[in-house]
Formats: sequence, structure tokens, C-alpha cells
Amino acid sequence: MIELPEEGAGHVEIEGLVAGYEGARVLDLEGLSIRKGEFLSILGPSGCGKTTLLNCVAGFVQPTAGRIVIDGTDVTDRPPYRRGLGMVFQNYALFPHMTVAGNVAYGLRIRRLGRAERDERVREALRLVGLEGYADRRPRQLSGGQQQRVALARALAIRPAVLLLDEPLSNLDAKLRGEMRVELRAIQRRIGTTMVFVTHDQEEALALSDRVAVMNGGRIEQLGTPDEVYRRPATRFVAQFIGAANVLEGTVADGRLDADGILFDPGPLPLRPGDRAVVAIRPERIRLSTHDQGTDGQGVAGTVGYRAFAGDAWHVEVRLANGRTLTVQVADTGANSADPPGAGSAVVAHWDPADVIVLDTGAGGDTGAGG
Amino acid sequence: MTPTRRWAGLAYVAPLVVFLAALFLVPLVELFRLSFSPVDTYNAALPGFTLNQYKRVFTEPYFYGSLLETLATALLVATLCVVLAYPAAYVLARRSAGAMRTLLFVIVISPLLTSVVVRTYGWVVLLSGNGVVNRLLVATGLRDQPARLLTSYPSVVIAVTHVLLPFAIIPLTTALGGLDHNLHRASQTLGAGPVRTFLRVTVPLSLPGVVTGALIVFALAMGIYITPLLVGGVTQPLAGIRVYDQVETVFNYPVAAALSFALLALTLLSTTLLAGAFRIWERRLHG
Amino acid sequence: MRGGTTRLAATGTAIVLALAACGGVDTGGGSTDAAKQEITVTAFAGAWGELFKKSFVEPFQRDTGVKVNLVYGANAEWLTKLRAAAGKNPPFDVIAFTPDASRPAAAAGLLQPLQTDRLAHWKELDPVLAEKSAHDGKQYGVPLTTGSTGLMYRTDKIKNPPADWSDIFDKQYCGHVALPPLTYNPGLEFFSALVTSQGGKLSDPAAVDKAFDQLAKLKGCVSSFPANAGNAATVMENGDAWIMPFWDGRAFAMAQAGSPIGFAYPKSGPVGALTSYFVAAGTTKSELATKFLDYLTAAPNQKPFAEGTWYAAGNDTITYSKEFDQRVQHGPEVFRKFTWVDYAVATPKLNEWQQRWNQIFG
Repeated sequence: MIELPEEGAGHVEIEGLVAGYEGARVLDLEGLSIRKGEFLSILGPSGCGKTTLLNCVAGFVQPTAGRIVIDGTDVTDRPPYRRGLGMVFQNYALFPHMTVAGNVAYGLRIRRLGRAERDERVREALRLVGLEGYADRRPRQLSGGQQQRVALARALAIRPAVLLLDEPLSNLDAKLRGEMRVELRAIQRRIGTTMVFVTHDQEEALALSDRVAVMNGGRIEQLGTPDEVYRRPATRFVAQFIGAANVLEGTVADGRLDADGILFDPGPLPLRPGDRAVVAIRPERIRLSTHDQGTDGQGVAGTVGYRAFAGDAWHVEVRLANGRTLTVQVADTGANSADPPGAGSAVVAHWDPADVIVLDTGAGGDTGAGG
Repeated sequence: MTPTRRWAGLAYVAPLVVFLAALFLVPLVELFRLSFSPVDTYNAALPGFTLNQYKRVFTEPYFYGSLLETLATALLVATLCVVLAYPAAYVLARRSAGAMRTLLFVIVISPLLTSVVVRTYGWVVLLSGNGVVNRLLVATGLRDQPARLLTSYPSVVIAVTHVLLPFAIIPLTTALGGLDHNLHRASQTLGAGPVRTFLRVTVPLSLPGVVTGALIVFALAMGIYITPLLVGGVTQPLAGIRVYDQVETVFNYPVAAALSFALLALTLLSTTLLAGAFRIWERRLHG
Repeated sequence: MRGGTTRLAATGTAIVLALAACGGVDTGGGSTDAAKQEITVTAFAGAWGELFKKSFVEPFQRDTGVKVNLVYGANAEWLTKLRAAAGKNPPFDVIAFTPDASRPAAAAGLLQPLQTDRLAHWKELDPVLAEKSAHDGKQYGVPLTTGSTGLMYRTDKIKNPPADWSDIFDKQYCGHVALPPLTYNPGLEFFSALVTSQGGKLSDPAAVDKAFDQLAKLKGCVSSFPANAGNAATVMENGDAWIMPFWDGRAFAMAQAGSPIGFAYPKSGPVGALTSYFVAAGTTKSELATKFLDYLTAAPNQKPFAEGTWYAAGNDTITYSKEFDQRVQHGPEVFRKFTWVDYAVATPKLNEWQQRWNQIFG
């Protein structure tokens, strides 16, 4: 029998989870603590182990070491059908031979709920995802977005302790994704179920989550709120994966950071001359001025390599004197704003020292994992 | 498509069409004509037209009895094949592509690579008085004397089922292999164990494959005669054997032709009805 | 390039199919190649055919220089092909038939009547056997060998050899009787023997009924129903069956090969199982065919064949080896005692009788 979770349950502790073989470890997690009621995104590029992590929690993959504890119970050795979790898949995985109501009721039937209660729960779940009138439809009669909502309703109907979502919005087009994102967050807030959301889309992760775990090579590089992860990335990888970042390495000299010939004010940092530092600057924080606009002596000189219009902003690549390039994002401020300087123009790139993100300092500084 | 290309396309198909028409349709039509010929006292065909051969087929128990027996046998064999094919197809479908899967697949198809006579003779050897089965029966004390396994109807059913099994395994494997893995996972996350997932998800969704396999085996079993003949002997009440018999021993070709066409018509009719029934059932199930 | 490959494949397939279609056609018949003369002769397959080749074909080829195309097969397919040829350009010139097939063939005009005065050894051939290949007053064939259908038995399992047909119903054999079905020659021969040993005839329904009543006594006692020579040999040799109606020649051949097989000639008369040779109607090789028949009926040729197959030869002038004389019953007096299946009656009724037979043993 499956234990039905009590209200407010959904706390997951993952300890020392290892999957894969020596030398080819797919997952090598020290630990992860998921709070009850939170929306946690697991973000990372393909092959970082995020799907394996989810599959371990779900029970489809047996880890070679480690424990998974849900609400105080060690479920590591339990099969997927005895963990009390819900799951939503990227390709919806609706049962084609059942109606929408049949799909949603599937888990309820297994739990031997009485007919009346079962019907009520199905109605409630469909109401939650906004598909009340669709109970008798078949999955193939529904659009992608509707199918995903049914999948969600089906997983939530059983009132799982934790809901796992494996890139559920990846099959939808961009506009629909945006809409579903909002709905998903609203639903989660309303019912308070812990949700673990795997995605490779950082925009999604930042928009939806209470916390984000950024994974790379089987390990979590940083776990923090979207704000923390974006503004104070702990490692170079996180900095470059979330938003884009221009990463510069340099040595402190004369109160300035000398990064391969680029001199700039590193901002308020307790650095002594000779210290090394690795810093990052977000593209949208760099402003470009042409010579006649004048700068206040700050900034780095360079030439525009190319520029591309992306609708809400311009992406400009600036080549610096020392051969490096800076990626700059210039917001399009309206119909009357000027386009940024064209290819070949001489520009000065400058930014507010406060916007400099410090990734690493000195020799043997903290790597900053865990924010 | 431009007219020239259409004609060119026909030119490529023409040899095949001519081949089929000349070597398949023409003899079939000839045989059909023959089934309406009267016979003399020595059973040689005479010119003329008569419905007597068909009358014989439908009124003499020797003939129409065999048609009904054949129908019953084919249904039985189709059912057995599907039931036996399912586990094999399940295992085969779950294997991911690789050396093991290829090996299993070859094992499944290998019976088809040998002649049906060779396959059937294997059964004759197995089931004979001195064969492995009987020796086992006697050795274990289940019987004190070898049983007459050959020329018994159950042996015929077993041998025919074995011979036709690959034809059920292959479509079933395809159907099972085409199932989305996530469906099984979804079922499990919803609390269904392996057995329930199998019954509620796998089996219903594999139905199209089951139906295909069953229909193929049914159609083949309706016409099969070599295996029943070798294993069961010429006395087995199957239409195919009786056709063979009419040609080989009695030399009465017109009635053999009539029986053949009656069998053909029965097979076509049954297959159509079965396929239709399955389609209705599927529609009710899947909507 | 997809288009190119498809075209190539289609052309290739078409060519292969065309070749297969041509190659599969049975060109049969004697070619009218003047340079090398040849005739086509049929024979039963297996050891029988091998011995036939040695005894008749090779001497003929050696002496006349005419090439013999030996075609192996069985009654049914030869009759089918003759019927298809309908008397013109037959695929064979000389054909072997047993009486069940030669009657229909002769009646349908597929066989050429023989001019017996042109046959070198006609007078040496046994009249009883020769009469069996006569039809409507015309002589169509020459007897090659005849077997007797009697009771073949296991000498190690049955101590007292059976003496007559009725012995097969002995209870001590129950469970070890092999009974060929009516559609196989020995089966029908046995059935015919049951009828005639009671003094009846196949044409008499009451006699047939009586025979079926007798046959019913074997219900539950039959262990197998061999429908061909191979099956018959297997069930006897592996001990499945201890007793079975079959031909003396085969039984003696098996004994010769070392199996504990014996043969009993039933007292009330064994049934004749004759193989004769005929000439196809419409053949262009009548001369050569007749010449071949001469070699076929010559005593020095028939002797090794008969002794090799343990079947009595059609030529009455042969002096056999002592062994042969001791084992095989032969000679004009023996042949006169044979009972024969009346195929004119039996063939039309075969289905109906087989149905009744099935009802007993099915």
C-alpha cells in the first residue's frame, strides 16, 4: 500500500548520490535538500546529470551509492510505484486508450478510492488545470498544451508528496511555454506541492523557481535563489550559463584590474596589488559610446565586430585592442532611439564598477559553490 | 508527375504485373473453370459446365466437414500462437538494440529460413514412438508404453502452432517495441506495479499487433497442409489435406479445384469478418 | 541518387523474374535433336529407381547409344502431366503406372496400345499380370514386377507368424498395429482383401459393410497410419508397430538390411501390387519406346531387378536365386491366386469409404 502524504509533506533529502561508473560518473552529488512546498528548478546543459538525478528520485535509475529520503523515509530501495511521487514527462505520456478523465483517475483507481470520491478528485484536478469540460475527450483530440495540462492533473490528482517534472514545457512552442509557465507557478502556489522541475532553459528556471540548482558534470555548482544565481554566480560556469557573461581574468595593479591589457576599476574589493581575480560583466550592463559622445575616462576602447537585432535588444560584438571580444546587449528603448554603432565603428565600452561580478580571487580562494 | 514519367513508371511495374498475371491469375482462373467441369468414371475432367463439384463439396461430409474442422483448427492455432508469442515478443521488444537483441531476433526468424518440411520433420522425429518425448514419458514412469503422439490431432495443432509462431512474434514485437517507454513510467509513478502496468497499459496498447499476428496466422493456418500431413497423416480432417488427397490418390481435379475455391472463399470471408470484429472492438476500447 | 537506385532495382527484379519464369518451365519430352536420340522414361524414386537404372537403363544406353532421360516421381504427377498434354507431345515416352492410375490413363486415351507381336519377349510374360494392363480389349502395358500385399511383422515381437488376414485382429497385437489409410495402396489392398476373403466383391455394398464391421474391431488397436513407404519403414523399425499390411518386396528388403522383419503370405490369397510400363499416346518415339520395353521385359534384365527389389518379375522364364525362391512367392500359379483391387469400383467410392474409415479411426 502506498502511504498518502499528510498535508505539508514533501521534504526531500538527497545524500551522496552517485550514479554511473568509476571514471564515467553521470551523477556525483554531495547532497541536496529540497524544502517542502518549494519550487526547485534543476538547471543545466545536456549531459549534466539533471535527468539522471530526477530518475533516481523517481526510482527509474538505481544509484550506485547514496540515499534518497522523502519525509523521513528512506526510499532508495523502493520501486517507483511505492514512493508516493508524481511525475510529468516531456512528451506528456498520456494513455492514448483512455479518456482524459480515465487518465486522471488512473492513479486514484489504484488507490481504490470510492467512485464518488474518485470522480470528485478528477473534477477537482481538471478544474485546477482549467480543463473542466474535457473529461470525455481522448488525448489525441487535444493540443500539446492541453495534453500537458492533463498530465499535470493526472499527477496531482493523487496528491503526491513531491511532483517531479522532466522538461515538461520543452515540447511546446515559445508562446505557449510562456503561458504555461505562468499557470504552472500559479497552480503550485495554490496547492503548495513541492515541485522539482528539470530544464535546460535558464529563463524558465529563473522565472518559475524559489530556488535554482545549477548542475554541471554530475555536480551541483550552485544552489540559490534566482537572484543569487544570476547576480552572484559562484563559478565561471554558472556565470556563463545563466545570462551570458563576459569573463575576464586579471591581476590587480595600481588600484585597477589589468586583464590582458584592459584596465578597469574592479569595484569595491579587498584586493592587494598582485592578487589575481576572475570577474564577469553581464552584456546588458555594458554601455557603448562613440568617441564624440565622450566618456569620463572610464571604459575600454574597441571596434564593433557585428551587431544583430533581436527584437527587444541589439547584440553587439566588440573587438578589443588585445584581441578579446566583449558581448554587449544594447536595449532597444523605443521607436525614436538610435541604433547602436554599426560594424567597424570605434566605440568605448564602459560599465558601472558595481556591476562587476567577482568569481574568483587570489590563489586558492573559495570556489563559491552553494552561494 | 509529367505524363512521360507516369508511363515510365508503368514500364517498370509492367514486368511484375505480367509475371503475376501470367503465372498467378491465369492458372487461378483456369482452376476456377476446372471446378465447374464434370468428370467421367475415371475422374478425368470432361468439357462442359456443372455445379456438381460444388454440390459435392457442400453436401458431402467428407468435404464440408473438413472445411469446418479447418476453420476451428485455424482459430485454435491463431489463439495459441498469440498467447505463446506474447512473452517472446515482450522480451524481444524490451531488449535495446545490440548483439543480444539481434541474436534473439535471428532465433525467432530462423525457423522461417528452413523449409517447412524440415521443420515439420523435426516434430515427426520428436513425437515418434522412439522419440525424445516418448522416451521421457516412459523414463519418468508417466506411461509404461510409448504413447501414440503422431497422427493425433493435438500433435498436429502443436506442430502447426510451432511452424506459424514466427508470424505472430514479429508483428507483436513491432507493436510492443513501438510503445512509448514513458507510458510505463507514468503508470508506475501513479502507483501501478509491473503486473498492473502490463495489464492496464501494455496489453491494451499492443492490441493492434496482436490482431495483425492473429489474422496472419489464421489465414496461413487455413491453407496449411504439409505440416498436418507429415505429422498427422493423410487422415487428418483438414481441407488442405483433402485437396491434396483428391489430386494425388483419386485423381479428381475438378472436385479438388472446387474444394480449393470453397476453402479460399471461406478464408477470405472469415478473415474479413474477424478483421472487422477486431476493428470494432479496438474502436470501443480506444475511442 | 534515389531515382537511379530504384530504377536499377526494378530492372534487376524484372530480369530475374523473367529468367525464373523461363527456367521453371518443364521442357520435358524428347527433343527432336537429330544428332543425339533420346527418350524419357519415368521411374519411382529411391533405391527402386537406382536399381531400375542399373538393370534396364544402362544396358539399353550401352547397346543402342540412345540417351535415356530418367524422370523420378510418382503416379499422380505423371498422370497429371499426361492429362495436361492431352495426347499431344507428352512429357514422357515410357511411363510406369500401377493399375489405379493406368486405368484412368488408358480410358482417357493418354496411352498408346501396344502391338504385342512387335515385342520381343511378349510370350514370356505372365498372362495374368499382362491382363491387368489391358483395357477394353487392347493391350497397353507390360508387367515389370509384382509384389504381394500380405502381412509384414516383427519377428522378434511375434513368435507365431500370422497365417491369414484375420490374424491381424488378434488381441495380442492390439496397440501395435499399423494400418495404412485407404488412400495409400497397401491400405486399399488390405481392405479389398478383407472383402474378398469373406467371399464378397468390392462392388457389393453389403460385402463392403461387412468389411467395415470387421475393420471396426481394430478400433483403438492401431498405433499409426503410415501413408508412405518411408513412414511404413520407420514405424516397423522403431517398434511402434509389430504387424502391418504391406508388400513382400519391401519387407524382404528391410530384412536384408538387418531389421527383424518377416513377411507372411495370407492363406486366403495375397493381394497383387503390380507395376507395369506403358507408352504415352502421341509420342514421336514409338520405335525407341518399343525397343526400350524389350529391354524392360528381357529375362536377363528383369532377374537382377527382381532379386534386388525382392519382387516377382513379369517374365515367367526367369530362374531365380535360391534365396529368392525360398522367400518370395512367385510364378504363374501364385499369380493366379492373387486377388486384385477392382479400381473401377474403388476409385469413385474412395472418398466415401475413407470417410467411413475416418469415423472408425478418427
